[in-house]
Amino acid sequence: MDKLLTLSQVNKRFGGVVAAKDVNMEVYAGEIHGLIGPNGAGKTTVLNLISGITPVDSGTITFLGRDITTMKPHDRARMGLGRTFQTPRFLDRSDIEENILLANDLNERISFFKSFVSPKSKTFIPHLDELTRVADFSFYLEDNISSLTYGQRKMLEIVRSMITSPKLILVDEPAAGLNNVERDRVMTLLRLAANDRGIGIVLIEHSMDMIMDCCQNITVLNFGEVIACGSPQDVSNDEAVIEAYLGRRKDA
Amino acid sequence: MNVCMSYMKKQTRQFLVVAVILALAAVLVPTLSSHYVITVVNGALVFYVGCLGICVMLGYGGMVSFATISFMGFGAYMSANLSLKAGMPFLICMLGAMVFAGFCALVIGAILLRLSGTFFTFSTVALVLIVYDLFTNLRTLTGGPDGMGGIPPFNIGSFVADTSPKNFYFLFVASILAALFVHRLKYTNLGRRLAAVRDNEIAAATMGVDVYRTKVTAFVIAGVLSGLSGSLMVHNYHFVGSSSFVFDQSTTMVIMAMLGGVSHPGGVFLGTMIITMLPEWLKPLQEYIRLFYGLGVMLLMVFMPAGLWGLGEQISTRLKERFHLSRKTRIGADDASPKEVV
Repeated sequence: MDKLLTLSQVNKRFGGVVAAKDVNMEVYAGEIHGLIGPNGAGKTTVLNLISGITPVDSGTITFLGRDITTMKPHDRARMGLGRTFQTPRFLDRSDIEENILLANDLNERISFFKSFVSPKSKTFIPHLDELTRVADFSFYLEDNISSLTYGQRKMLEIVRSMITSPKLILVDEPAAGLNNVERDRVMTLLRLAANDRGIGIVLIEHSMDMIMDCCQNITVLNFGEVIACGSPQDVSNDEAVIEAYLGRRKDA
Repeated sequence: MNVCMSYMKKQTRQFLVVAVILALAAVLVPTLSSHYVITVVNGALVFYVGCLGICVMLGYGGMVSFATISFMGFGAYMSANLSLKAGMPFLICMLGAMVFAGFCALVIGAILLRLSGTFFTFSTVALVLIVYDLFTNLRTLTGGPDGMGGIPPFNIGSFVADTSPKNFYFLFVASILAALFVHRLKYTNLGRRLAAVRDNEIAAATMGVDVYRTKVTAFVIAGVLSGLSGSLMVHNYHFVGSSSFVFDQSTTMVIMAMLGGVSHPGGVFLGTMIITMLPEWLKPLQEYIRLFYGLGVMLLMVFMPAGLWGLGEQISTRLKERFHLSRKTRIGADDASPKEVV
């Protein structure tokens, strides 16, 4: 499998708080890589460092064989680095169509002149329809984003990201606040991306069932440090992980 | 296929309605109005082109800039100088004004847009004050407060706008072209990038949008439109003086755009016309006009944040939904392939 992303010795401090300390991580094409840890472990920070929203203090990030450590977020996105957020981020004042068209622009890269002459591309509709079916929900293209439920917005964010034809998607807690049915649909969607399309996925999630179900590899963070890394079985038997999640056993 | 057809039909229908209204205006305004009213309307059309720049910046991109009036000034003086000192024909003056104002916008925008939100807005206020001072004191280039007079009228080939109705025709065509450009811009990839920058900068960046560059591009487009407006101004009035480019005037322009509906060229047109004609209609209330004006703006912000056009759109959407007239494209589960619901 192709290696997509490498983090080596990545550090980030916010004042006195160490959000990431010597983080090493590797993500391969077609794998779902879980990123777990207790609250405040620095999971979202690591995603922000990878997508470039916050700059690293030291260390290097390599994506598709290129050093992207100092690259701007939009350039990383153009290289094929997708991202979804804990609370979905959309163009709230625009309709769904415009939101998807924006993602489609990243996929098609038409010139300004061409889009001025023939503005409304409809080429994305079959793809969008297919993905929406996989996620088993539906909507009208002309409606505002606010007409979708919270769960649908979370799913549409993953769909939007897939429309951009990414190589790697960073998914931040896709199932938080979703019911079981919706959670299963999110998992189907992520599996489709990874297995059928060979997209690498970094998945932050608090639901252990989901992590154990769909991840091939897991990285466990605690206080900004990687305390374990490996397959779901290895990680769930790891002493340090059990301690971080459940606390140390007190010997009487 | 079906979806595309109905879309085309809707476009054609809208186009026909707009074309008929414009044709009526083109015939009726010069024939039915007095010489004085035509002059007032001409002035409004000049400002309309500048306000279209505010439409791009504020309506599409969500950036409040008060600098429109300064870039109008850059365009106006460029046009006046090219015309009076270099003896250039009108079209060259106009192009020169647009290029010069656009260039100034590029340089200034690249600096000011490093600031965000209210900080950027305040920096544009400061810019207006600085530029006004320059216009007043650089007498060799601007004529200062005394201004520059004797600027020739619009002329292209054998068409010379030596009367107010002829001025009207020229300004009418120019502002329609500018409005069409701005209207179309919204549906291009740049328009979408601007909407993304307006609504959520982080989401925009993750969709590959270069936020800073998009903002500067919008600022330059607004600058070019302002430059055009400035050039139209000097050739319409045959005069330019620095007192036209005071801060007061730039707030008026922002209000013009906001009142009508800043995210649509049609709304901006309504606003420009209303604000220009209001002093004429409210002549009896002369002393209190500013009071009503201020009250009006306050009420507007409370009850119609999207302006008159926004209100109209809201009503039309409600009506369409009520009578099931809206055509929508269904995506996803329930039925077979995306189908059209009438």
